[in-house]
Amino acid sequence: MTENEQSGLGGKFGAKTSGSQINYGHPHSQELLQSASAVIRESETGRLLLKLLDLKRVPVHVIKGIGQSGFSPEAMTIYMQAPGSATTANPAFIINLIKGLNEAAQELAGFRTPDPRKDIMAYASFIHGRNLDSITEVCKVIKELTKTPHFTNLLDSLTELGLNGVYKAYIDGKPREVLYEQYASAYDAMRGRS
Amino acid sequence: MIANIGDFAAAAVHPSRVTPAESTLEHTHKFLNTLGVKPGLDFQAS
Repeated sequence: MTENEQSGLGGKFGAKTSGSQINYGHPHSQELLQSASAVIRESETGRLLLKLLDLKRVPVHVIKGIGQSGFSPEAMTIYMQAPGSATTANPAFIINLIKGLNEAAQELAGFRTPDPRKDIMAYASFIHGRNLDSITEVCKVIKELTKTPHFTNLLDSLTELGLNGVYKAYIDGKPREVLYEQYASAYDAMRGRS
Repeated sequence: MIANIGDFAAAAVHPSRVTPAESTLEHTHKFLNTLGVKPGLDFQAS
C-alpha cells in the first residue's frame, strides 16, 4: 500500500516519503484508529458507523498535529489529528472520529454539501444541521457506553468541548429545536461570544 | 469538535441566523444498514 492508497483502518498515510516531502502521517496511526474503534465498537450505533471503515468506504488519515479533525467532503476523507507522541486514542479523538464517521455517512447517503459560493445561507443551514446531527450521534454513542469504563472520560471530554448542554438535552429527550439551541450556545461559548 | 464549525463560511453565519437543515440521521442509518448486506446496492437519499 502506498501513501496514496489509504483506506479503512489498514492504511499508513504518510508512512513513506521521498526526497523533500514532509511526512505528516502519524507514526501510530493504526494504534490510534484501532484503540478508538475498539471503544466505539462497544456501542450499537458505533458499530453501525464503523461499517464505513470495516468495508473501506471512507479513508481516514491520521496526521501529526493538534489542529482540527473532521470529514472533508471535497476529499471524501476523514482527517484526524493527534500529537506525534500519542499512541492510543484519547476521548476527544474518539469523539471526533464518531463525528467524522457520521458526517462521511451523511455524505455517502446522498446528503451532499452544497457550494457555499452559490448560497451561503443554504450552506450554513446545511453545515449547522450536519453538525447538530453529528453531535447528536456522538451523544447517542456515549449514552450507549454508559455502563462501560469509557463513559466518564468521554462525558468529561464532551463537557470540555462545551457540549454538555446538548448531551443533557439529548438524555432528557428534548426535541431537535432544543438541541439546536444548546448547540448554538456551545458555538457562542467556544467563540467567546457569551 | 466545535472548531470544525470553523469552516469559514459557516463561521460567518451564526447558527441563530439559520434554521438547521432537517435531520439526516434516520436516512443515514438506513444507508449504513444497507452496507455489507447486498453488495453493490446503491442507496439514494430521498
